[in-house]
Amino acid sequence: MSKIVLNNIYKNPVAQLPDWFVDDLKNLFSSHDFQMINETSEMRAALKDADYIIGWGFPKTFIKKNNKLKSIFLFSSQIPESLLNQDYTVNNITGLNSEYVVNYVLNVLKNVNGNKSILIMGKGAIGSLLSEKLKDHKTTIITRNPNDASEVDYSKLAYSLSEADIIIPTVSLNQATKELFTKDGFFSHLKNDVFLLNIARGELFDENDLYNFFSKNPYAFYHTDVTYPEPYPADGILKKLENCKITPHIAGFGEGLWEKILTRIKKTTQDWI
Amino acid sequence: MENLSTFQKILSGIDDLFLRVKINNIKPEHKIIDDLGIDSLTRVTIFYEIQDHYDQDRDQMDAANWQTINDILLYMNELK
Repeated sequence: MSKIVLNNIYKNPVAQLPDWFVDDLKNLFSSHDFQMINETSEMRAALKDADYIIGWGFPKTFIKKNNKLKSIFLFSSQIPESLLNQDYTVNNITGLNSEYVVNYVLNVLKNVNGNKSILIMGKGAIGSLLSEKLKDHKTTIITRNPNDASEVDYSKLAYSLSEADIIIPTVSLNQATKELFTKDGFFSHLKNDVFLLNIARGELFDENDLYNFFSKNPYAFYHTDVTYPEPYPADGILKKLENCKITPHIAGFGEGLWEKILTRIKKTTQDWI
Repeated sequence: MENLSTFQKILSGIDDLFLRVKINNIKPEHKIIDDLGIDSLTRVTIFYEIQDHYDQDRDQMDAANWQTINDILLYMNELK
């Protein structure tokens, strides 16, 4: 009998697991030791000897002494670098929520003038779908491997940033991408009325750089669905900016998402059962 | 008191840790939420890394009242 842990510690109201979803997982793994954890205080004991982990991301600290872990299924579009190339396998929901994130972006941009130049940073599932949906706009996508006229590589980053009216980072979070968003490498090139739309990760930006740029450039605007930490503190410095709007990490959720995730879990975990 | 460099060494060993301040620039007076951007999960992570460092297994509620890095250093001093 394997120990399978469902990690349900994420407290964002829009991210709560539906009861039917949890029940289906219980049935799917009914012949195993299936445990669900809802609080961070339960994580250490539950994860230290789990064979399989399903659910929201968790610090690697909790599995560093686990020598029997075989596989992880994360409810996130990104796999943290520290979980790559390990003895266990890691799967996630990449691609499943792209449609919701892109719809969120399109809704934010619905009144944007078609002449505005849009820079999409990153060409993963979300960046690719977004560029397709925005093809009627003047859109550039910046990627490590450009393959058509609308795409450029990162050697053109400074110029691309200086030309963009709207910038939408869609890159994953790692040391390399974090270094793209520095004061000198990023903010110093922006137009003073740029619209920066962050649907990637709050950690990409140094909050002081954001505050300094947007407080000095009142015609620029920062719209973000992601912050660090989350939920964003009521007295966080971004709340002092009049030209900043924060939504509580809602972009990746929508009707039908949990059905899609369950289908992928069933397919991915066939070997477990 | 347990010194800051021990704490910084513990932080350096944590994977996927993103702070608003570089680890080497952390000061005792830094507030862990406002200055470093530490969320609840990262707080718990740091707590357990400290437990492991001192080979302790105390209740994570010990970390609930940490406000500043100095609070953490004082706590580490208790475990030493």
